[in-house]
Amino acid sequence: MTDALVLDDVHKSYGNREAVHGISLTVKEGEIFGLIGHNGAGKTTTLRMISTLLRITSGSIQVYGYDVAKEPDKVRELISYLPEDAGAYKDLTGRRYLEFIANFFATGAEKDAMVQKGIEIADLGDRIDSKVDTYSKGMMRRLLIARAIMPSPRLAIMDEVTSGLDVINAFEIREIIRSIAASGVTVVMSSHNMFEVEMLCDRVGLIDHGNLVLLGNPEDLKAQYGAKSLEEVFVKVIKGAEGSQ
Amino acid sequence: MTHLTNIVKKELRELLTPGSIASVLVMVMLFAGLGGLIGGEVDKAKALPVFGIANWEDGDVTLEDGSEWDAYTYFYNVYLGANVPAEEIGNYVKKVELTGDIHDVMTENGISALVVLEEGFGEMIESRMSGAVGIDRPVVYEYYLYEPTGMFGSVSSTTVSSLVALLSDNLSAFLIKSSIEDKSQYSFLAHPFYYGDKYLNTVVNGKECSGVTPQAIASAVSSSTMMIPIIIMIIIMMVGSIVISSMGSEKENKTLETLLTLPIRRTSIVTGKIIAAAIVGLVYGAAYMVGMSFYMTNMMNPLSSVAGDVSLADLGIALTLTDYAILMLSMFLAIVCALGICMILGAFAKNYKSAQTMTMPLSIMAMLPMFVIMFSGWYGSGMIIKGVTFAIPFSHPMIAVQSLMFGDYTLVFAGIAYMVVFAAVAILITVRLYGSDILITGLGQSKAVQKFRKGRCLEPRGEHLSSPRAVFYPDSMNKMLIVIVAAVVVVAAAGAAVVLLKDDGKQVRDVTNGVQLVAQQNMSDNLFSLYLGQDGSSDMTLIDAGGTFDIPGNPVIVLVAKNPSGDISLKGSKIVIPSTFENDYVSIVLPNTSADAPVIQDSKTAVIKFTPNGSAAVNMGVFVTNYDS
Repeated sequence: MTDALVLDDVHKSYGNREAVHGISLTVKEGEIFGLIGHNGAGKTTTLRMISTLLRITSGSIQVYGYDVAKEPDKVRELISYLPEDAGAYKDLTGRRYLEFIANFFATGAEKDAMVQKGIEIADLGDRIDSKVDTYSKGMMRRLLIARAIMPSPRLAIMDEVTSGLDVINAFEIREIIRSIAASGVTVVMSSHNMFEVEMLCDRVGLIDHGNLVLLGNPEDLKAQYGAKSLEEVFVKVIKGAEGSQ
Repeated sequence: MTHLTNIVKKELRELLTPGSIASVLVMVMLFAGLGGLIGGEVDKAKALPVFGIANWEDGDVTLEDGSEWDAYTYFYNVYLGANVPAEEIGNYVKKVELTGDIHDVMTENGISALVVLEEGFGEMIESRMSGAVGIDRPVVYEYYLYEPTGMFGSVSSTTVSSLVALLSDNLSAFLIKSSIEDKSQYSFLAHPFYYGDKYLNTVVNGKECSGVTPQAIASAVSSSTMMIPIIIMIIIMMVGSIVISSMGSEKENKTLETLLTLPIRRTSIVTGKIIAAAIVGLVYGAAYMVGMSFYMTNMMNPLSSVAGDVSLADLGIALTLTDYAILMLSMFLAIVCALGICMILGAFAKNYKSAQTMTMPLSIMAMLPMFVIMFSGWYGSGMIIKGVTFAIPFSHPMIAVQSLMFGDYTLVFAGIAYMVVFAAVAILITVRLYGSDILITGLGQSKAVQKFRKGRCLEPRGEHLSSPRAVFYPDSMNKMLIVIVAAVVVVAAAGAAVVLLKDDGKQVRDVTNGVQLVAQQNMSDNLFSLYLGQDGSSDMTLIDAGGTFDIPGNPVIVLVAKNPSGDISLKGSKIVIPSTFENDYVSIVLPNTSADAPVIQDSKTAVIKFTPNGSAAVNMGVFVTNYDS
């Protein structure tokens, strides 16, 4: 299987403060990979580096063989990044917003097909023609998921994708993620919801204070730590790390 | 704490941010500086004019009774009366030889005003006085070189014109005193020579315009150009606010992060934003231009007949189509420069609210040249102000209006070249910023800010590096801003002090309004009054204003101090009236008389006797000075 994403000893410093201390990991094509960790552990920083938003201090990141630092334009053609709490342009309708994004990827019939696909994923009914600032949080998130998925990216990067959503919306979004992964799209996501990660992800990486302290599939990790859930693994690892400090 | 105070405190904390306080302080500084600028211009305008006098040799008038009058001496005495040291008067009233073209002579002598006595001036007066028939009155011509300056630029020419009017009054008074009782001469005696607009020439841009005063030109120029700096300022502020706010809301809604991960070039994002804002700017500009022109037309119409209709086209300084094209180019570049600055500022904005604060430096940069151009004009400004104005790119279309009128294309093109370079650099910096982390993380993560925090020991100890507090320290940030605000306060206070002190020092205040009004303030009536009358007479006239007084015989000046803070005394030949103003005292200058030393009569009264020096009129000035010399 092709390597969709390779992180090799990635460091990120803000001035004298190092936020990410040498993370290395590989994500295979079609895999759903979950990054977990407490607030400020370095998850978002890592996702932003993969998404070409932040510069890498040292080490390298490759997306389908393209170096993020050297060929960011190539990487941007392959990825789709959905930031945490992202919004859309409030004066546009849902449809207009999808058209605005589609214009960057395609023209003519191809673009129309892309927008149609987005509308279907968003599944907002008539409200697709309402202005974005009238949307609820769940509707907004569905629109943005649709925006992220409709150009058929090869790597979808999603930061806290279901945070703050109700049960139904969260469930539907997880279903969407499952279906796109089944179609061959690689997904890298971060989440605080351990049950979601356990249900959805093929493999997880636990980041603590900028270090990747755990990597594997949820079942193996549970067995390794004699835990009933991924949440228990998380608590044991973090508490253990704090105890050893 | 009551609920109300709790709410008030919370609201104040939100509203009185270091940013908002800093913006208020900067505005205070700006207006203080502006006050200084206007004050400086007013001082300049009020200052004694420098002018030339030609054919001064012909200004001697000797009457049959032996009394003498001389035009140059008159001007000399006026300046002496205004406390100009005798040896320096030649720098103000320059004797000029008419060796060729009058305007070349003026340029060579560095003067913008020239008074020319008609050849044979004195002889013509003398002939008329001796009853000769068929001799016309002589003429005093005035020549001006129009200089494009700010609001008060033409005032010094007004002063020269009024000096010529006073010369006429003075000669008239002199002639009346010695005249024969011939009623047919009254008109001549009242107006012994011709002068005024009919005999006045102003050179504008190398073109001679007769009968047009520099102030008429200045008012025509300012009424047609004044709105351009205002419009440019409004456009810059408006467009700047659009771009910065757009950046702020993109960050707040996290749409920028999405945009930056799409397969689009950074230059396309930057250029797209600039082009859209520039289009909006031009639309606003056109709308304001139309609106303002209606407003100005309606406002100026009733005034234009008073000011005298001066057509700029007739003067050869109206803008041509090419000039308008150059002006539009200059305006367009100024907008692009403004947008470049805004994109840079916008990159640092964290959200919509902080973006609003970010527009402040831009507003100041736009207001500063507007005030400079309106009040002192480019050509009337000093080197430092010129340097600052030139460095601000938005100044150039404002400067260009007048420069184009007066054919100074070098300045206009230098401005355009500067703006092109400025815009290119600004766009390059913006593109670089778009490739950096600052756009995502803001300033809080930059090395410089972190170094500052470390240097100031503001980093909280023991805090975990990756805790949210470590990512952005609101307290440390506030402390940093407080330091900045404190620095701004100190600078503002120093600036205000400079502006206030400027009004003290060695300024001369004329309280009885001699010939040259310098400033009438503070000490006038509540400190002393001045009476004039005949020696020994109790019938004294209160003098409160006016330049010349008829002196009936042996006059006496009695100075009565009304509310001195102590006894009046003599200091040399000057009378000291103690006042609340330290070192203030009064000196009396009687230029064309011989005056005895003042005599102190009592704690409030001093008397000066003097004899008119062959003249029936005395130009008198009483000055309050506050320096000890």
